[in-house]
Amino acid sequence: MSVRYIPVQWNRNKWLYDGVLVAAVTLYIALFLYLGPALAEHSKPVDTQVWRARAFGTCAFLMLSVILAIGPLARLDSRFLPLLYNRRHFGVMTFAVASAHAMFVLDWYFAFSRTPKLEALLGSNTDFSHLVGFPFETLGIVALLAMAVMAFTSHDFWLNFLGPKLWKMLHFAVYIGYVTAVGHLTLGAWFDQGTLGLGLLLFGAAGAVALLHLLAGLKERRIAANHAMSDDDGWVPVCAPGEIPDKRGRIVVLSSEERVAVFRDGITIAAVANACAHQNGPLGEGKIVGGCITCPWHGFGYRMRDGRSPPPFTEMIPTYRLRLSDDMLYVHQTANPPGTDQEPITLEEAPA
Amino acid sequence: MSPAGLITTVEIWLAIGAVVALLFVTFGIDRIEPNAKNGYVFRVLILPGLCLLWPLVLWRWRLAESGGEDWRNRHSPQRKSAGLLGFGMAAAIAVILLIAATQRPVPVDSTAPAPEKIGATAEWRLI
Repeated sequence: MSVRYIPVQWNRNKWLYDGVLVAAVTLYIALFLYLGPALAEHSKPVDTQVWRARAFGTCAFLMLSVILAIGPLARLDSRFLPLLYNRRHFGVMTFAVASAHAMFVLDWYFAFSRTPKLEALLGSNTDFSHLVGFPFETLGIVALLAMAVMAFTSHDFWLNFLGPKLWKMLHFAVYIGYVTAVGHLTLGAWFDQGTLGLGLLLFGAAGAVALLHLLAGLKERRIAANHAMSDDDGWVPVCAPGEIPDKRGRIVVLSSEERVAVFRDGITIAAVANACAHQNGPLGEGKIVGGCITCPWHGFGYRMRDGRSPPPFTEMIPTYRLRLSDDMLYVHQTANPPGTDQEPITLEEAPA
Repeated sequence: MSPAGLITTVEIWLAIGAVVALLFVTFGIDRIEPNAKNGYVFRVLILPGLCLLWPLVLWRWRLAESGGEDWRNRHSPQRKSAGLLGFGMAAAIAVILLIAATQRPVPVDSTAPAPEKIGATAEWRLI
């Protein structure tokens, strides 16, 4: 949560997350460089620089695949939520590894070029009409550019400056980046070498990413289709108070497809927007910690009655009016502006 | 556009971005972002993004100065777009993997019959 921007808001979990990442990347590249030449069936030995390019390239592809799998995995099963916590650092590291791959390629294949290396790369093959011999390097450049946009806008400043909606739209570039990366690997290394390892990486990782996104998308569609209808006055039925577990929330999908999170803390019930002000994480899937609704993605907290983060933090989310009638909760479909104080429902006694 | 022309265009883009970025981190950010107060090191981290996305930066800077942004924009996630993009990406991956499985050229085995006997016309054949 933000009070004053600093380069990185480190905490124990981030150190742990990043430590595991760095160790995994180092181990992968070391194993690749050690085992690759021994297991390869090349008729002529391949230079170390080429092995480095391959190691970093496949590592970046694997990392990007994992990054893209985390989102749908977390939507399908909340046990994967901890992986989402520091995904931005994961993305920045992936960009660094992919950049190293690009540098090794440029410094090897275009080392003795008369023209500048990048110009030589872009001009060496411009025939886009055939799959075999396609200038797959172009696809790699597009993927790298997409990763650069995401890495360069990963600081919390960008989230606040652009707003979560626009920031997320910008970060949809990861989809373009991944498709072009799959194309880059297919038309480049796979068409050229077609080894078992590459096949497993390409079909296994990309296939898994595609399948997970398909499953998560279908689940989202089912949720969106199950929206509640309002009465003439704009009140939407939620559930009986007892159906909301203590310190947990219930998500209501309005006919506008906006989502409201209705939380119960003992005998107090309040409703807020389901989208966290930070990255629009699903607040309704979080829980109440220390009296605050806490986002399951990054732990941003909001008070129940006014949707404001406790001081000194400044984040705010919209609140909603609630009504209790015949043991049934109703939420009004019109949101209050973020941070609006809204009297919560107070039950006579906690539901059994 | 020639490769040299493309690279020059990118350089000009980034040069304009550098000017916008310097103006923003030294002058603009303190006017529109309370959390930037007394925070200076993070400004170095955001410089590459400011250079790359300078038109977006200018637009958001102007919007923040005018206070004209609708607060609802910050609390309505792009679920539909995300879903469609997810399906689109899955479909595109499926097409590429189909190409990968069916169109990969393999070198002709030197111990196999000569190419003309199996109907291939080049050193490479499709599987």
